[in-house]
Amino acid sequence: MTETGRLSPQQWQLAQARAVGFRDQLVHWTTNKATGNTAFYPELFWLAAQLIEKDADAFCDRAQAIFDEIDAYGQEPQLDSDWLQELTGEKDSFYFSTDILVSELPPLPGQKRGRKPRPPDERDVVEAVQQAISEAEEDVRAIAYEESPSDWILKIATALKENHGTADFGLLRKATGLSPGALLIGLLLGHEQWILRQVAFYGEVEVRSRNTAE
Amino acid sequence: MEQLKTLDIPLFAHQPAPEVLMTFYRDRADGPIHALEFAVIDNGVAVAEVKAIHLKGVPQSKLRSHIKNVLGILNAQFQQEMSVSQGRQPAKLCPLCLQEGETHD
Repeated sequence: MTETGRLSPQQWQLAQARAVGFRDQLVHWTTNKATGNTAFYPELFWLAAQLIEKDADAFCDRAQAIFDEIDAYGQEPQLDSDWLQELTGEKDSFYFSTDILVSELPPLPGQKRGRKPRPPDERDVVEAVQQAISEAEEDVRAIAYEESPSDWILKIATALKENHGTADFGLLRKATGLSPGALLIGLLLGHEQWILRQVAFYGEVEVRSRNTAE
Repeated sequence: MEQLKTLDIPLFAHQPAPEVLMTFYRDRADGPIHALEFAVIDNGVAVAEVKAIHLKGVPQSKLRSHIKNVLGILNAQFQQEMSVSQGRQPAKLCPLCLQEGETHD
């Protein structure tokens, strides 16, 4: 195996030599400790695991210390107040310079003080939802009773006639002055007089008078 | 008219133990620490001092071990476990910075 990866040939040789030395030492220790052939390999692997764990812990501690130094570079440290409290106990004496006294913040008016809002009552929420539904229904009924649908159909027919029997939904809205709901109801109810066509799913709706279509 | 007699009666068998005062030079109680100084206070009088050191670039773990080392040495020197209290002074009163300012002047 000639692959060295990121290591230079010298570094690779050094690493190999260390690995061989580690293996030989491990075998020597295990041979001394193990009694009989059957106990040799378990003892070998157990020793190897212990040594590798010890090396890994030492490496991690060293890496953490170096990382802490890098992190602290150019900065002043802080100390946890919990750790200081353990050291000093409950008794703390602080000596402040009057130069750094901070003036008190102006007090907020009573209403703006941080009071926790009460959670809404379930009954109130249900009542509010029911009221909203009934109001929406009333709006729909209000549109239906505003004018008679026959007036809407007449307006649509007039607008179509003025546009040579063909118009799209937007043009009909402008020409008739009807709300979208009223226009739609009028188109549906007067289906005997015109044909509704839509080429694409979200495309414009085209209204064509049956007289023109025929 | 009888004169008022003033008696001076000390506290018998009461010897306040010396304590270690750690003075942190920092501008906020929870802010970064500019310098640290120790003093041993016995009955309101400073009987020993540990020179202040600047703490720029010192990791927190090293600062903790330094504090423990100093407290251990002071306890060994005074042959007793002393209580520890902390004090705070603004960073501009750091004795090292004031001394450097005087030297440059």
